[in-house]
Amino acid sequence: MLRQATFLILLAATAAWATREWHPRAPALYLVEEPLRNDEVSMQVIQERWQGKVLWIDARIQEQYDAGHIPGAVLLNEQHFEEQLFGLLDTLQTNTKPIIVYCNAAKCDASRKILERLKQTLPIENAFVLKGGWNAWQQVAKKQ
Amino acid sequence: MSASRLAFLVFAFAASVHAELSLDVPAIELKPKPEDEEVETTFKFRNKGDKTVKILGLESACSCLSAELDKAEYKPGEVGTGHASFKVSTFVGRHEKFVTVNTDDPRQPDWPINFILDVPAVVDIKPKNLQWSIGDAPAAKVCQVKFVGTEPMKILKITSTRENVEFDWKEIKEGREYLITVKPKSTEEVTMGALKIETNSSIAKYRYQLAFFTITRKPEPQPAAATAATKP
Repeated sequence: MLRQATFLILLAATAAWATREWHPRAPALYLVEEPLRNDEVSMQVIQERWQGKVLWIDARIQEQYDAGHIPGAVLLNEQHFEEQLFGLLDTLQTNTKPIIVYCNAAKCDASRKILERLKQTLPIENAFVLKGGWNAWQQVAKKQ
Repeated sequence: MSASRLAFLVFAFAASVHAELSLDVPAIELKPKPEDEEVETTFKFRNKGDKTVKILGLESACSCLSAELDKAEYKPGEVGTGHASFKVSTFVGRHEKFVTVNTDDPRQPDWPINFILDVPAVVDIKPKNLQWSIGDAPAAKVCQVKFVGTEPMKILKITSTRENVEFDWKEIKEGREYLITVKPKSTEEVTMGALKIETNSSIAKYRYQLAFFTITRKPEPQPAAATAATKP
């Protein structure tokens, strides 16, 4: 009986260990934040480094922008890139603030595509992608 | 059968049963025509696993691409049908986008469906941005415009958003190739501007093209200490 109980406990522990090692959604044992990529900044960095004084660029579609966007953000998306960039030339000419591009959330790649295309089209420096996108900004805004 | 053997068998069976959603191709190709505003396609996929899978949701990496599946659950071996829609807008060239299907299967919680979008180019402008630095000699630079679509196009008119550049254009090959020459009057001030090129294209979204020009500050040189530190 004791042997059987010990065996079952060991079996359960093995299964738990295997799940922890290989399950794609296994929770972390401790809080780990994925490091920022070279072209990425977080909301925390934006506050600490620039006190929130940045030029926001929204890379989402028009409907999402109209439904709600970071105050002061300008729209520049893949769907109408050149036409919208044309309308932003005055803003970009006089801008001295860091440029932060955002889209919906972590899985959206539109912000990175827009940042790359912006840098290919104009000699833009000091420009980054917001880690976590619009969702990340909303979470910070809710706490304030 | 002893409890330990039964537990082992149950464990082994549970570990082996899984679902596996899969397409028959590595990616779904979409080839819209230049004049298309939107392109749609249907695609087939199969649950190759031995467990029923439940679809929890779909997430697209681009607002330009949306997809939906015909059912919320797929039994082992079942073939499903998906429908995808891509808003062409002003996309040109080859783009890879994906839609992620979230499932209840722990071995395949996220199934990415890859799409390759190939939109034929109609206009090619090189370089897209004519650049000067502040203090440079205000020398003329040339931009080449080629109409590479099936139908020839002509430049009807060009306007500039800034007054401190002079420009001119000439036809190299009728309906196919033009050269635009741009010369700043001065390079003393930061400038970001564009030439708006009006064409006679029958497709509305190609009727106006843009070429950019900029006068910007030269990047600051790195300090000597930093330069020495980066040398091998």
